[in-house]
Amino acid sequence: MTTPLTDGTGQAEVSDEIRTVQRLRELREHVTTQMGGPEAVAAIHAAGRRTAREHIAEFVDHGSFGEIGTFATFVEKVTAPTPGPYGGGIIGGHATLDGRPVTVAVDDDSVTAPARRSTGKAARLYQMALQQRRPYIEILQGDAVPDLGSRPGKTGTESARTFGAEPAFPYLLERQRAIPVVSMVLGDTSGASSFSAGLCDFLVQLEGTRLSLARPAAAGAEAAAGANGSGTLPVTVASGEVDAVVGSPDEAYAVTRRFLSYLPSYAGGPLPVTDADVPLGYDDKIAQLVPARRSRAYDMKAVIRRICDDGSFFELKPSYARNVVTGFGRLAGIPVGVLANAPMRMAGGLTPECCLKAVSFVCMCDAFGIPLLVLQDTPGFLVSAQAERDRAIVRVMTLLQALSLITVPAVSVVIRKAFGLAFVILDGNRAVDLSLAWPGAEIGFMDPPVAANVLFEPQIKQLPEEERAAFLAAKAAELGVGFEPYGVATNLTIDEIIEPGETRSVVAGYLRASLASRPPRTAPSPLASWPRWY
Amino acid sequence: MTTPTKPARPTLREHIERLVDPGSFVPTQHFSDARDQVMDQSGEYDGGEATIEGRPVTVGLSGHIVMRALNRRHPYIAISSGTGGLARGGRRNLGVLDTVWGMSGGPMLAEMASRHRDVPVVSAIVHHSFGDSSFFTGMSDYVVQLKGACMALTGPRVLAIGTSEQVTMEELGGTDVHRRNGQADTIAETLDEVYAAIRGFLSFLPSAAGEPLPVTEPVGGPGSQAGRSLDNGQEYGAGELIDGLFDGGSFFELRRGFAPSLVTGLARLDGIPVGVLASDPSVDEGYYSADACLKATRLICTCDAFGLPLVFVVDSPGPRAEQGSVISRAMMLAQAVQLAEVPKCWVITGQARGAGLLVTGPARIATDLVIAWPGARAGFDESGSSDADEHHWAADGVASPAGTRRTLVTHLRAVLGASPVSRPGRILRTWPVGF
Repeated sequence: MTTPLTDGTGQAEVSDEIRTVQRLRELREHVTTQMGGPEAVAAIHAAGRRTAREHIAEFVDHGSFGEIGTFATFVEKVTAPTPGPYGGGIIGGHATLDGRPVTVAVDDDSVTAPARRSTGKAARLYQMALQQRRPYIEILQGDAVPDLGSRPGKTGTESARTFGAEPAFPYLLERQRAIPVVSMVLGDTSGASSFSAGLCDFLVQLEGTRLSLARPAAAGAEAAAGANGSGTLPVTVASGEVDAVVGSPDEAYAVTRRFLSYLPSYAGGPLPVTDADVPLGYDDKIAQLVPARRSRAYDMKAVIRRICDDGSFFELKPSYARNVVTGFGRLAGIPVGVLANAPMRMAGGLTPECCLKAVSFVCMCDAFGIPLLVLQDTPGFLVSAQAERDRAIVRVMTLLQALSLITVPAVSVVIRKAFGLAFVILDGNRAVDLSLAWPGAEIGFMDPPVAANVLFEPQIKQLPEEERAAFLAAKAAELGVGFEPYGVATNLTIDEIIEPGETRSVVAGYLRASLASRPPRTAPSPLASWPRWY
Repeated sequence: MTTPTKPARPTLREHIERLVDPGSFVPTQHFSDARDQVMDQSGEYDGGEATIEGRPVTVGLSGHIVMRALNRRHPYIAISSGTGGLARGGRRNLGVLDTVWGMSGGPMLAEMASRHRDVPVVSAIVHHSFGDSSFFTGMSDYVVQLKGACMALTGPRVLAIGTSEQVTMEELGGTDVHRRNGQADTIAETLDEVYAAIRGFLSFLPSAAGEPLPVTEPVGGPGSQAGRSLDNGQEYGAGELIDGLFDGGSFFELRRGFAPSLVTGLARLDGIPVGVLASDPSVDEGYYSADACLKATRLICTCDAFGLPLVFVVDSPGPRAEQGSVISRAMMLAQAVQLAEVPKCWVITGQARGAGLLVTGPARIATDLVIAWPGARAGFDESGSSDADEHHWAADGVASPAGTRRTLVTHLRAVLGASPVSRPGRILRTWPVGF
């Protein structure tokens, strides 16, 4: 690829200009092949892993990588043609992913731990991504210790950009989701390398890796406790922080490409609309997926897949709080965030964890202008002593707060049942701009049999034992009539009752019109600044 | 262990009259929407305008007249002493819309959800509270719960019918539950403590964001006295440190018993109201648990929204790694610290590592101040540590324990000016209210 060096005179002696370019080439060749030294690189390969540069080569569009900060280093002074190791503990630069510009920063684990992340290079790369308004992606595989002893400056230990006037650490703290940030954990990670995991939009973790804030030595014996130790997948998945678990680096690259394919390159940027010509015809199969009896379970994801464009549904956090489903899809090519109850799990009842999952997802969608599609089939918030201990009140109210602050177009469809405060929050508080219901939907303040029991307790107590069941059933049926969607349609609590088969075309039509008619957002959404997980 | 006695039940009017300045209560004669007029016939609904320490407030049953306070820009106090709207709505045979929308005080909740902490909102749980009475607490800046009162999404009876779970009021949402999970900022033993707590909390806050800070006159000369003197070479617990740094007797603790390795509350520094976050090395070595991060974040958001300076007293080894994953919670806290726009002061009394470091580490703005005590150490972990007195890390200066209070007061006086108006931050006021 390299252009041969010649000054065109054909003479054996080369000019000074050529010599300086030659020197650069030699240095660059040396730096990029040596990295932290042949032994360190060999050790990475022996462990079956990839170096930082190999990750980048495999991940981004072929030949698109333009490196930044190749010669950043933490040694005090460049005194010889082959000082090193170069790179500053981070290999990074600009590239394209599926043709779209991105910036990548990868932990260089071929250098020793204290050297990593001490030149402020990740901060520099993030700053460039922010200025250029394109996604910023980190690959985490290091136990990096922020060097508090260093002073701010340009390069080198004495002047590393760390804590201080121009700090390395806070570069993501003020991000407020201005650009998408992805963190892929592809090796054991702690310290400064772990920070972006708590601040990103999409967190991917490779099986067998550890992700923890404290270094294993500092974390103590627990970190070495094996499969369920601090930062291992069972822990990070159970905490809800990981969005996608992958079995290989290639899979990590793939899910990251997939994730970014639904997002604009920056908050406020145009949505990546594809295949606008996909058919939106009547779906005569979708109604059969949903049993009429409210106690029968069914797979909500099958419903989502039929509403979305073929093959477009991409689920996030599939193993966490499975009573709600969150993920991206497309409708007529328009990216949407889908938030749905899952009647397969606890009848679709909502736990405090479900609220957390939903809030986190809604914040991301709103920050990036991705329309929301809410599919409801829930008996409400699951009440129990455990839920109260888990801060149910605060979690539920935070979900209400989040949905009340959304600025994106949002459509809600009551698929089957929607009771109580859950309906109020997901729909009835006018957070969504279009409220739809299927004709078989039941909407009310509580599951009718329970409601009858609670409301008519005094009357029930006065009845002889043998008459109570019939009385309750009659009262429940009475209440049930009032729960038909035609009741809430009379006063526009539901904007329209639609046929299940029309769902796709009605929602897609609404979203198309929204994109065409809504003025561009002038101020960022308040939710853009909310923490990724609280 | 004595069984908590059933709380005596004063009427709502009696609660209000015992809470506010004597003779100041003016009941609201009519409510603004039809639903409230219907409800009011029950006699349960009451509320109106009054003053506390001479400053106007609105008081009502749960959130039903919160709009009056939001419009008038002064604090709202919700006294929650009833069941949820479900039973009320059901009893009155309201239509489907009202039983769904009205049961949760729908419009009220929507307004509260986008309140952006413009005015302080306080909830007092003085009797068993379910449904809208409890929902409102999740939107409040401050929650005080009376011992013996239950606070839960729904009551034990609905649980028994709906899920067959048999629990007592205490087990479901008693004060022990909400002391441990942090949903009550204060637990009160008596009704008088409830009223005193509400008055105490509001005494630190401006009537609305952007209004003057309620700075009190310095007591006894140029600077009011701290509760105790601090000496070199001594090790102090959080309580002693707080006594030594802030005006004597001024500390108003929040969420005591929840994440106790971090003590949080409001206090005064020479009369200036401030938020206090002090790690307590005598509890779990001062480690930051995930809950401690939640505890800290709520207070930071409240203080930033109402313009109160923040004082961090740091002696912590960092996050508790074995508690599963704390990365997101620690980063959330670091974000809150970073995004807070009020003056921030740190006093590093011992070690500042890990999460303790994250709280001190972010880039500072001109109104910030970092003071290290002699011998204080900071670093991500042991390998990255350095002594403060070697000036290897960016403390603004080393102060003796005895001189710290003066340094803090001088700094805050300088950055706030003579008659400080609260300067609310722009970002954290929209963050979740409950953590």
